[in-house]
Amino acid sequence: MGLEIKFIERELHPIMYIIVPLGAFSLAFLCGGVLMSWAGVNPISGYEAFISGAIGSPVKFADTLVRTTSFLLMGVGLAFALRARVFNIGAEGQYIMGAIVGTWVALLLQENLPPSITIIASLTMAMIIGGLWAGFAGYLKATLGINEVVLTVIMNWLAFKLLQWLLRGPLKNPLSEMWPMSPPIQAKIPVIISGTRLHLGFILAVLIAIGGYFLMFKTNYGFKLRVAGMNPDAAKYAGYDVRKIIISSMILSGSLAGLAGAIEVLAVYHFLYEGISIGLGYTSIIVALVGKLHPLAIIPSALMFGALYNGVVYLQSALGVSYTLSKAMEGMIYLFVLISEVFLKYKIRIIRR
Amino acid sequence: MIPLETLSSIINLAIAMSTPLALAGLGEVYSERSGVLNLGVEGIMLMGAFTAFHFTYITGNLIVGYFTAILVGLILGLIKATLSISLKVNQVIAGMGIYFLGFGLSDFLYRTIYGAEYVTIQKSIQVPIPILSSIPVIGPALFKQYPAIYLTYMLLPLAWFILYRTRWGLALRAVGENPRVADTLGVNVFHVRYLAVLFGSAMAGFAGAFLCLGVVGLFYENLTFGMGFIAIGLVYFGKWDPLRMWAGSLIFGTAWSISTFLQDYFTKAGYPTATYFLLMIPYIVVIISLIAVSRKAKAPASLTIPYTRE
Repeated sequence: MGLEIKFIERELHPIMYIIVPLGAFSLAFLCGGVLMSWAGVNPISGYEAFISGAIGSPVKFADTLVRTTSFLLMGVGLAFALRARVFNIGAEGQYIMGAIVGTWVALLLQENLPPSITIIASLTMAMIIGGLWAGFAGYLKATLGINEVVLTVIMNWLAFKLLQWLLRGPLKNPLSEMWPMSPPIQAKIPVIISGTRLHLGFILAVLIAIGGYFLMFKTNYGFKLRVAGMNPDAAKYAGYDVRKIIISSMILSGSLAGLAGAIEVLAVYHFLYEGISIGLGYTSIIVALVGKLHPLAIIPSALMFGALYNGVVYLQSALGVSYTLSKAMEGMIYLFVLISEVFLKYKIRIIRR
Repeated sequence: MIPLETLSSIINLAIAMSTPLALAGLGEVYSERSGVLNLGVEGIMLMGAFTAFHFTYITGNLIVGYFTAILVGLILGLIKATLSISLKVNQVIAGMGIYFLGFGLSDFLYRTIYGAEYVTIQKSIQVPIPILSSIPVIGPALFKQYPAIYLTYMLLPLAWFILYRTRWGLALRAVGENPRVADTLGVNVFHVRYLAVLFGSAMAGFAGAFLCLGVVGLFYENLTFGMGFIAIGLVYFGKWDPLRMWAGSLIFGTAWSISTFLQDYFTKAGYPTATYFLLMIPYIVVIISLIAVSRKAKAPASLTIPYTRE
């Protein structure tokens, strides 16, 4: 005799896809408020600071869009890998590799070539290296069956250690003794609204998200990719080359992460340093999942997380609450989304037997 | 020639570095053997490390630190188990959620309580075992260690024995390979999986506590530098066998230890930046060893597949 939990599937109204993540955000904010008051900050003034930091002024809103850019690029890329059921946890490392190579190419070319060519070359190379870095893991998964989660996470750390070394060795700025950073980059991605930091990369990211939508839902490749993810056996039976799909989805997601890394350097910081990523790649996984792995839905999702991130960073400088509050809240949003989806999708009955 | 004393301290550090991996890896072996992939290990280790740090700092008692860390591991494990076993949420996604929660919360709690500075605590001390520790080279390397390491020496063979030579182990393996058959034979699949995940998470909490109290002696953001994920990699490397997994963690620990010693060497020789280059080696070693054994690695058949009773 024991208790048994039964799941009965039910139809979901489309509006729920918006309400669920918003509800999860609200719950996480409630918990965030509890954490804040424990940290000795009045949650109401905390969230006032939070909102003013995220969207309080045009400049701050532009900064939120800047932060959105990397989440959007990486989130759209990850949607392809995750749809193909390849769990790429390596956006962090692919982003770092893109930032490294983007910086390197820009430093090599900027002396002799005009900025536009330098930028294009730098971004292209960043995409290639990001794609290779991820494609390596994809190749090993497809051919040898090595778990991609483990592999990509270890490669994230490898990329970070490489970054640490390069900044103290070959990419070191000789003028900066105390703080390891690269020499400055003159080839800068142009700002689109003067007085803010909002740059052309944001437009590019939105265009890529729209392009990603067409690739995923309107092309033969996208169809195969979705089938391979939903039902690998059916995909094999239909004669799709599942290995090719695994590898190509990884390359695609890696190249977008690499692009995001190079854009961050060329548009925002104009030099490379150790704190270039600080877990953005990991957050992007949540961004992609909250956006239901749909390139267009990832746009608002990336925006929500961009606002969360910048809001908490401002909260830190205004009220001294650690910025890692945003990480804890990300984890909660994520878990709440997961749990609420289960309760929405299924009627749950507890049966005694 | 390397002086024998150096050799002995290289092995000593290798074992200390491999222990958090071995402890977390052991928990993961059991969890995966039951069919549940727990990717939250890293997050649980971080929470374990923070909890151990905090309670040791308050009470001044390492034992309290270890036990509270295990308790926190159990709480996070219960969340993970409920999500993966009862609610049947995708295990990779649920595990990542636990990781983010542990990663963010541990650092948030630390900074809120202790601020930006590093606070050190009294580290665990190495206790030499009489007679054994006086064996040349091996003695000081293996038997002048932290008490948690002696526990590890006993725990891993015991875990191997339970897994392969007892009814409990048989039930665990059966649940991971074919839960339906195990269920028919009267094994409660849900109980076994809950216990395995709880044990795995408790071990991850313990591993984090040891990393903090035994190896580092303080807490900072991302203290585990990917160790939780490396431990999961070592489970694959060890083909879900506790002893093989332990061997893998020793390889990683040795790579780590050697690169640490080479750092000193290169710093003295006037190449301080080489240090950072060398720190890449352990990660490369793991990747290569994963490739080397991959062809023969066969996961438990029901790994990541939730069980539903008909």
